[in-house]
Amino acid sequence: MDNHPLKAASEGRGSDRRRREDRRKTYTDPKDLPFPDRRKGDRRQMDRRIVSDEEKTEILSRVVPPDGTAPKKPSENAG
Amino acid sequence: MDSMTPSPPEADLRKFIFAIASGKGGTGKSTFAINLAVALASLGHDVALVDADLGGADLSTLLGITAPRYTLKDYMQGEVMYLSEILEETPSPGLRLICGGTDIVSISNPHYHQKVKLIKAISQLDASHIVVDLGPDITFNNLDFFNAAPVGFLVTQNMDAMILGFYRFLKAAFVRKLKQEFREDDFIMNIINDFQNRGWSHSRRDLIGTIRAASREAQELLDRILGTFQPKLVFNMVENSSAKKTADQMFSFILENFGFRLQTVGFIPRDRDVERAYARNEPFVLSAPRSAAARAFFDILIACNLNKTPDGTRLSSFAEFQARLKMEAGHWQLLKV
Repeated sequence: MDNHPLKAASEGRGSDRRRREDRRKTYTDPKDLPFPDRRKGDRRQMDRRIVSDEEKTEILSRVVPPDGTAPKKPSENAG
Repeated sequence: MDSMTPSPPEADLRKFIFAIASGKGGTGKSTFAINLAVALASLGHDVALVDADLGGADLSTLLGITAPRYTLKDYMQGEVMYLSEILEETPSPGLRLICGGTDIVSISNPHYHQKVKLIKAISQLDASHIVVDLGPDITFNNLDFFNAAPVGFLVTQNMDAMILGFYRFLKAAFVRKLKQEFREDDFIMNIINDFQNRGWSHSRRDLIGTIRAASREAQELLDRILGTFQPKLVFNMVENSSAKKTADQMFSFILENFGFRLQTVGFIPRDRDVERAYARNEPFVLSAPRSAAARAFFDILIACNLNKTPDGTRLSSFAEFQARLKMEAGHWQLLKV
């Protein structure tokens, strides 16, 4: 039986088994995750804007340029 | 597990873990990460620098290591079992590096379980201080690494595109943090999703106000989040006082709209010594310890309460810091091939 092909095949999967076992061991309860466990939700969120046009304009109006000129007025950033 | 297999170390929550992000490429984020790691090592700490810029890793090159034995690819593909196995020695005795893998595309798009595994493994590294250099782009991976670290640095420059980049990253990280903390509360989750779905066309202030008004529990949780979400902002390549004025403007804007305090911890001046060090793949705090940039770096350590040695001795003067850097630079010259 020592040379049985099924046994050899089984031994051959040893490294893969170790890898799978390792993966299982690192399983983390979703409650302990440092981020939302909503993978399908993540996919939908990818299509959502992070910053609106008005917000962008307002941010740029607050940047003080290095050349010492006054920050741009919101209207100068439009478009 | 057989007796020959080492047990994974437990996570040590007392460790200092820093995530370095920017939201835009070219700000000097990786240079900041390297110099922070080297500065901490020069104080005597045991530092691990992790190149988590998945897909755009270059810290090994910037440290003069051209052929690392292992990279993150080997860990994420299961070629090695523990992350500590791929720590590379660097010319600095107290600093070890985990090189990023750039030679395959899949490294920049890790599977969900790989991300979870990597975040856990980083927190379990055997080092007192862990510096994690993230990618410049706004991906869920970068946001999650940033939020998972107890301390997050954002490196920017006083330029429109870079300020917008850092703001986008900061807002995305904050909203993701809210979603993580309120994940069990469907009512609040719907409120946040509604703001996102409408493209933030309403006032940002309404989001915080609406959550606060939802319930006493929601208000308490929100206040806890606002009290702990305190990213540290670093302005790089600063030429004059305009960056300070922009920092003040951003502080006010974020406090007014999101209710948390953005802490600007330093202004690193534009410096020829830094450019020369970068060209030679050397940390500028070592090759130019007397430079204005090195001085600014010491001020950042003080602002972050990191100017301490492992035995608790506090370095109060720049001269003391310089002496440490010169000693460290000696090791660097000795060991550099």
